[in-house]
Formats: sequence, C-alpha cells, structure tokens
Amino acid sequence: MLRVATRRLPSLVTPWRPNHAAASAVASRGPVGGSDSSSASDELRSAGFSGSFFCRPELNLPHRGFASESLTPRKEDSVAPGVPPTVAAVKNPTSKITYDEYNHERFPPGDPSKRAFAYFCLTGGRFVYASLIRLLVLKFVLSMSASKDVLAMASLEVDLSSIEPGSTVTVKWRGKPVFIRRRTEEDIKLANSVDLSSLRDPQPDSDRAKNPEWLILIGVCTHLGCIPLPNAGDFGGWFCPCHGSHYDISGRIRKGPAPYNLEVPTYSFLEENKLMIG
Amino acid sequence: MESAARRSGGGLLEGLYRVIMRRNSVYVTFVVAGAFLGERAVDYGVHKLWEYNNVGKRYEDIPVLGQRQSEE
Repeated sequence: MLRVATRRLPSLVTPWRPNHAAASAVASRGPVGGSDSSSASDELRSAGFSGSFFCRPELNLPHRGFASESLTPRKEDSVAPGVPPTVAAVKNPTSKITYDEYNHERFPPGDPSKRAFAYFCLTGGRFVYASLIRLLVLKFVLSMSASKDVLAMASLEVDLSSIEPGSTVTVKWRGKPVFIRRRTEEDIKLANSVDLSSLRDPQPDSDRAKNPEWLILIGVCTHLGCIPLPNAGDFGGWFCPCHGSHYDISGRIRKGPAPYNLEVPTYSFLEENKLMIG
Repeated sequence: MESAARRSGGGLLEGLYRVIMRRNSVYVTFVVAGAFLGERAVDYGVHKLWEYNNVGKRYEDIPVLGQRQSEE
C-alpha cells in the first residue's frame, strides 16, 4: 500500500497543483483522514505524505511547496475548505454566472432577445415542409387518377362521310357502344311529330340532336344496361331485347320498363364529315 | 450605426412577430400562404433559369413546326 502510494505520488503532484481549493482542503486537514465521501483518497494522500517524508526525501521539495501554497487560502474562490462544490454553489448565489460557451456564445448581458428571429427562421423551414407535404400528397393522389393512355382513349373521332342516310353505325367509345344514325327527312319528321306530354321522359328532338340529320346515342338501355337493337321495335328506333323497351327514332323511351331516354354523349362536329365524341 | 440598423431589423422582426405569431391560427395561415407563394416564386425562378440555359431548344422553338401536315 505504501509503496504503491509513493510510486503514484510524483505523477499525481502535477495535476494537483492548479487545484488550490482541493489541495488546501486536503493539506489543511493533513493525515487526520476525511470524514466525508473522499475519505479513501484522503487516506491515500496522507499515506503518500508520510511515505515521502520518511522513505523518499527527494520528494519533499514539491510537497513543501505544495503545502505552503495551500496554507494561504484564496479569498476569491470563496470556497470553504472541505465543502463539496455543489454545496458551495448552492450556498453562495452569485450574479456572475459563467456558462459553457464552447459552441454557444453568450450575448452580452442586457441584449434584447432574438426570439422573433429564431421564430422566423423556423417559419422558413415550415414553408418548405408545407410545400413538401403538399407535393407528396398531390403526387400520390394524382397517381391514382386516370393515366395518359386512358385519357388518350377518352375521345373518339368518327368519319361520317361513309354513313348512308337511314343507316346506323355502332362505334365503341369508352367501352360502350355508341349509335350514330344518319336520319332521313321522314325520320326527323316522325321524331318531331311526337306529343311530348305523352312521353315518360319528355324531351324534344332538338334537345337531343345538334344537327337533326345526325343522332348520336349511347347504346346502353337505361333500364338494366343492355344493348338495344337498331331498326327494331314498334317505333322504328331501337328495341332492347332484354326486357322489351322500345325507343323511338330520337332515342326516347316509348314502351317498356326503361325509366329514361337513351343517353346522348357530349359530341361536336369538327369540320366536314368529322365527329368528335367525348 | 451598425447596432441601430440591427435594432431596426430586430424591431421589424418583432413587429411582424407581434402581428403574425400571436395566434396559432394566424401563424398556420401565414405558413400555408408563405409556402404557396414561395413555391410559386421558386417555380418561376427555376423556369426562368431553365429557359435561359436552353434558348432555342424547346418544342416551340422548332422552326418547321406544323409544316408536315400540308404535305399529305
């Protein structure tokens, strides 16, 4: 124990030097032994003292300097000997508080707070976050909407020049059949001669056909979605074979269970003999 | 001079702080509006930069655009 302490002592002397407070605490008490938590280290030091005094006289010099220095207590530290630093700090409140300014430099005392600046910096970040969230949400939601290939099939151009008067052409548009009928003068007269009040779904022929020569209808029965047959039925128009709905030459429901007229899609005549459905 | 300028800047921020950040609802509205405007501004700036770096390369810059149709 003694030899270990004496061998360790010279290396311990130098780090002790700047620690005036701790050194004074130890040295003033001497070999009495600590009554507080640091009793073990105190014992070690006292053992080192005695060992150096009696066995190794060449070590006396630094110890003497060390002891004489510690005997003059330093007033500015104002730490009572033997008091732990936390206790000393609690018992001596001071206005000269020193913080660790290693990477956070203090403003001079009395400076106004930079709270607004910090908040506006955070606001700039929140602008970016809000934009990002909006972008991501829109990307995901719009990725579920109709794609370009579907949109490309959404409208259909039909060449009308090859359709004879009085004949019906069926084209496929958005997965459904579309009837394009070139009506004759008799057909138009027949369609306009109907008493509207007798219809289940009253609609004049002028509402259903932009150009009375051309009638464009979606070929889906309004009853249960069957495909009516052209040039059939009691009214010269269409006849649904599923449950016997009769449509007239304007596509209006006349007889049978269907509740409404045949639907007219949105269409427009582009130029000479060109029809755009959709 | 420098400190005065800093104080005025801080005063501006403080004034804006008092206007905008007293209520969270106002602040959220400000953030949403600022995000929208900032997005527009960044979009515009990047678009301008793009145009500046790719002069004469865009689809609209092709000189023979729309002349094929007359041949058929």
